[in-house]
Amino acid sequence: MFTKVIFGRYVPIDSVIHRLDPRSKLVLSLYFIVLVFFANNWQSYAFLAATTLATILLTKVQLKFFWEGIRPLIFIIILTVLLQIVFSAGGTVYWHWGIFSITSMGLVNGVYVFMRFFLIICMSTVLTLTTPPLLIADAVESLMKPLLKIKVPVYEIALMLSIALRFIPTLMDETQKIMNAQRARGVNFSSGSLIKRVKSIVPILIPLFISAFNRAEDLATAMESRGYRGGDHRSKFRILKWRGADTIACVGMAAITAGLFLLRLL
Amino acid sequence: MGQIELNNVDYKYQPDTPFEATALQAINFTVETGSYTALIGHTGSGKSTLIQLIDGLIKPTSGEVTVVDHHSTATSNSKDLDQLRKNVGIVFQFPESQLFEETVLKDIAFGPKNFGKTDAEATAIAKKSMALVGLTEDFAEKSPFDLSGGQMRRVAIAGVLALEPEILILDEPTAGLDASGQAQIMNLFKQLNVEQGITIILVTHNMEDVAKYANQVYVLNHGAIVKSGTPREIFANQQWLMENYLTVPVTTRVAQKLIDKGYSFDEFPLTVAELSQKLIPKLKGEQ
Amino acid sequence: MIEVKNITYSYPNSDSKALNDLSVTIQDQQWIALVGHNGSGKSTIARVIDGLVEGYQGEVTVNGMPLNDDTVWDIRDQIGFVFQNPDNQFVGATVQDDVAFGLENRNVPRPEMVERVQQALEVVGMSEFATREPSSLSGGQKQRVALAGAIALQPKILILDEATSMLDPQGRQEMLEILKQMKQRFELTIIMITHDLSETAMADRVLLMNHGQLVADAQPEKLFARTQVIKDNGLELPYSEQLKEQLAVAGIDLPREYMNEDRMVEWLWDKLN
Repeated sequence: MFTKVIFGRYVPIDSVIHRLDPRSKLVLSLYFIVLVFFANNWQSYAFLAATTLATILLTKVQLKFFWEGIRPLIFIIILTVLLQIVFSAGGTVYWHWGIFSITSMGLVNGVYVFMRFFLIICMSTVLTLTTPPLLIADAVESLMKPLLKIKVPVYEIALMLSIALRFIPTLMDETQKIMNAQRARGVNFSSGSLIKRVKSIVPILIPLFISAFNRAEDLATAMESRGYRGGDHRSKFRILKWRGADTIACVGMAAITAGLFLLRLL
Repeated sequence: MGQIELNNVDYKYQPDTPFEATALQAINFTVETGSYTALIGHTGSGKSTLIQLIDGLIKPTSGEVTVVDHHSTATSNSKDLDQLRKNVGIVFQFPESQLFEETVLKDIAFGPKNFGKTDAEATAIAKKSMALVGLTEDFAEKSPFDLSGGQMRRVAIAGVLALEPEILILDEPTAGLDASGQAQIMNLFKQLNVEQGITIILVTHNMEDVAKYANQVYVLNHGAIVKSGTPREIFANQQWLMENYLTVPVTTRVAQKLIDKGYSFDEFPLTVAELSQKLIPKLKGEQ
Repeated sequence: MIEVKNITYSYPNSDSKALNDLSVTIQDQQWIALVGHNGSGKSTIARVIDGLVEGYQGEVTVNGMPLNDDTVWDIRDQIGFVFQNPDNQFVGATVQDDVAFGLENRNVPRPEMVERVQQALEVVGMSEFATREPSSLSGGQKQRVALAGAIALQPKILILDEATSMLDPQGRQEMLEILKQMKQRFELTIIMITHDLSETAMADRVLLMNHGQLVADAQPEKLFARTQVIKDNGLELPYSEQLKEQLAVAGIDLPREYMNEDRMVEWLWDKLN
C-alpha cells in the first residue's frame, strides 16, 4: 500500500547534486522558485526550463522519477491552467460563452502558468530526490539559528523533526502490520459505502495511537537514561560543511539570474 | 492436492522501481488438512511474506496460491483475495497490537461480525473463544488495555479463534511471554489441532516447539524453500542447520554428542521425553 | 558498588507492590543475572537504580553516591542502559548519530566524539553500518547499536533490561558474545535481566525475584539444582534438569548437583557403558 509512494523520496546514488551541502540546495531551490515568477516571455521560460533540465540530468536520477513526482499534482495543475485559460482575456478571441472565453492571451497565460508549476515542482523534486530528509532538517536547523536570539527553541525543534523523520518508517511498518491483522479479521478497506470505509479506519487508528504513545514513552525513558536534559550545552555530532562545489552552485545561480533578467528585456 | 497449495510462486516488493526486491522465488508448498506444519528460517528469509500470501493479504507476482478451493494469482482482484481469508486465521507476532475495542468481549466478537455473523451469534462465539484461551467470564467487560501482557495476548488469540478458521497460522505466537505463558498457549494450539482437526502453520525460531508439535517442516532461506521433511529428517542433519544459522533442539544436540561418543539410537530423539524413554531401559539395565 | 536498601514501590493506579522491601548489594565487576517471570519486579528495580522511577521508599547508593535529584545525572553517567525494544530506544536517524546521542548530551567535543563513536561501533562489530538508517537494520543489529551507544559513554555499570528477548536466536547469541568481550575489556559490572535461565550460565550470581522480593541469590549452578524453587517461580528448568527429572521418575539414581550439557552427556555415557 505505502510501498507505491515514491513521490519525492530520496534516491541514494552519487552525483554532483547529491554531494552539495543541504543548506545551499535548500536556499538555492527556494531562490529558484522565486526566480521562476520573474520569467515573463517564452525565451525566459525556455531558458529556465533548460537550466532545470540540466540540473535534473546532473542528479543522475532516472527521468521517470520526476514524472512520478509530478503525477500526483497533475490534476491541480491542469485545473489551474484551464481556469487561467478561460478567465483571462485579451488578444484574439477564439471562442466565448458568457463570462468564459478562450483568447490568444489566455492560451499564452495558460502555458506560462503550466511552465511555472512544472519548473517549481521539478526543482523541489531535485531537492528531495538528492537530499535525505535528515539533511534537510539539519539545513533548516542551521538556517534557523539566528532565531535563537529571539528565544525560539531551535535545537528542540530540530531534535523533534529528526525523531519524527526517524520514526516515520517505523510507524508506517506498524500501520501495515495493524492493517494486515485487521484485514485478517475481516475488515475490508477497499469496498463498501463511504461511512463503512471511514468506520474501518477506527480499528487501525486506535492501535496505532496506542502503539505510538507506548513508543514515545519508551523513547523518553531511553533518552533520559542516556543523559538528555534539554537543548543547551549539547555538542553536535552532525556538522554541515560548505565546499567549493557549493560556492560554484551559488555563482551558477547568479549567472542564471543575470541571464534571466537579460532575457526579460527582449 | 493439499488444503493449501503454492505452485511456483514468486513475490517481489515494489516491482519496476529502484527499490525492487525479491521476497520469494519459485515456492512450491503443500499443507494437508489437519497437519501441523512448521516454517523455519532466519529473520528476513521470507516467512512472513509466505503467510501473507496464504491469507490473501498480498497476491503473488507470478504463480498460483490455492487455499481450500479459492485461488490467487497475479491478476486476482481484491474480491478473489477476500475469499482466501474466509478459511484462514492468523495470529500475528505480538498480536495484542490489534486490540482496539472498549471491552474484551467486543474485541473478540469483532472478527465474526465482519464475516457476517449477527451480534448475538458473534457474542456467543466470542464467549466460547474466551473459554478456549482460558479467560474467565469476568474478563468480558474489562478494557483490553487494562490487562497484563500475557492476558492481552490471550484476548488477541481469542479474537482470531473466533473466526472459526479451518487453518490457523501462528507467527511467533509466544514471543515475549515467560515460560509458563508459552507452554499454556502452545498446548492450546496443539489441542485445537488434535481435537478439532484445525490445520496449523507455525512460524518460529523455537526449535523445541518444532520438535514437540510439528509433523512437517519447511526451511526457508533467501526467499526459497531449501529443505522440507519431518522434524526428524530436518534435525538429523545438524551440520547443515548450523551452516544455515539455524539451531537444533537441545535434545538433538545431546543425542548427537552421545552418537559422537559411539552410542547409537534406533531412532533419533527430538524431545526430552523421547530421549529419556530411549535411555531409561539402558540405564536401568546397568544398575 | 550498588547498594539497594529496603526499596518498596507501587506503580501509580496499582494496589500491589511492584517492589516489596527489597535489599541487595552488587559488587564491582560482578555479572548479575536478574531473573523472574513477567511482573516479578525485575525491570522495576533496574529502573530505580538508574533514577528512572520516582516515589519509592528506601535508599539506593551507586559507587558511594546516594541517589537523589542532585546526583541522578552523575549516577546516570556511570550506568549504560539497554532496553527491551530495539526500535523504541533508537533516537538517532542513523547508526552513528544514535551512538553519538549520549555523547552530545554530555557536551563531548566533536573530534573526541567522532573517535569514541567509531571505537564503540568497532566493539559491537557495526562499523560498516555507521551511516545506515534504523529501518534497514535487523533487531539484533539495532540492539548492538544500543550497546555501542551505552559503551561509548564509558560506563562502569551496564544494565540490560530483557535486551535479547525480542531477538532471534542468532541475534541473541551475538549479543551474549559481545557482552562477554565487553565485560572483560572494560571491567564492567553487568546486570542482565531475563526470564530465560539458559542466558544466566555466564553470570557470577543469579538473583531470582518474585512478587517484588528476592527469592534466591546464588551462583547459577547452585540455583539450577534447586528445581522446585525455579518451577515455583514460573521459570523453565535448564535442559539437563528437565532430563534428570524424567529419569528420576523412572527410578534412576542421579547426582544431586547441577550438570551442564557436556557434563550431563559424560555422565550418561559413563552410565551407559
